[in-house]
Amino acid sequence: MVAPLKVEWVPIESLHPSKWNPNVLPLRKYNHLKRELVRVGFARPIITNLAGDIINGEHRWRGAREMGFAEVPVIKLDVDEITAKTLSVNLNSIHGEMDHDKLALLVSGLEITFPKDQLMEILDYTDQEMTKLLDSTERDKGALPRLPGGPKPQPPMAAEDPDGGEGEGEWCECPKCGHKFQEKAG
Amino acid sequence: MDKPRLEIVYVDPADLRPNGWNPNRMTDAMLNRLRAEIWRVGYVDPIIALRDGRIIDGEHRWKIALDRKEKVPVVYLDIPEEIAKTLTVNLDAIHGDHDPALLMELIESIGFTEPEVESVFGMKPRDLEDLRRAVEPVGQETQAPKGHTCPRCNHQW
Repeated sequence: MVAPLKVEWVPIESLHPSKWNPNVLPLRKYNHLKRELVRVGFARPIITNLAGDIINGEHRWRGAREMGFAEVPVIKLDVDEITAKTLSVNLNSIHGEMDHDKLALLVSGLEITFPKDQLMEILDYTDQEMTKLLDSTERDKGALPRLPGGPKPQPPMAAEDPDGGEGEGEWCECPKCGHKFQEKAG
Repeated sequence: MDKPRLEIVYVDPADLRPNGWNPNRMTDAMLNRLRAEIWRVGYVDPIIALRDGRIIDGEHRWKIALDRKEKVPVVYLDIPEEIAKTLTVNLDAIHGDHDPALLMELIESIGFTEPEVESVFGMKPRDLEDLRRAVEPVGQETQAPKGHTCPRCNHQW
């Protein structure tokens, strides 16, 4: 059982990636993460052991470093290496899933507050993803009025993703020419 | 917007509540894993909430704390509700996945027995076997790093 948690702000260079972190983040999500750091800052502290090995938050740390943060918030846990490793896995793997309908409802509500372009930027949706999400709300619930300037209805995709959209390939950006593409999954 | 300073306070879960917009749901199996993890190590990741007690992130941890009748670590954010909503979405959406080879290496480095792997990571012997198979080189494939090839300029990295 860990001691009561405390957040400290420490120089970013005093922390470092662990040797064992198995978590990888697709480039598209990493870029989104960096924009979030600029938009809202850290909403969740990084978690490390006492030595400063990052247990959770390596990508936030990398992003913050790239965005020029001098200090980052950290919770330092007094744990042995095995516990640190198990936490690295479990803090990533224990999570829920988005309920599609609830997400669509939430996002369509946010469309009233935020201009569509800004909302797409904040949530990192492409035009097509946004349209697909919001159209499904209207189709399923039939209750939400279309907002002026809202997305136009589109015919359903010919072939639905068998993985329900979660198993799409990783988004990559070529470091040479900047071309963005989606890797084939698996 | 002022960037949050993040201070942790321990509060009675009765002072927190769901936000009414959370699109995140968890299977019973996952909720049980979360419960086991909290039993094993405690709360290592604070719940994020608005000052009025509405939870931005961590509703499932909160539910478990309610059952266990114990205080939970919370970070309160002073942000407008609409920003909180976008955070609920993004805190859920921006997460990575485990690289199978790195995960296998980590598990092997700990030296857990199969029952320990199952109790700590929620992986049944079959899941472990699947992972092992996913990692082992097939045919003449070697341990070469999984690279990318740009379909436009053919650059590889």
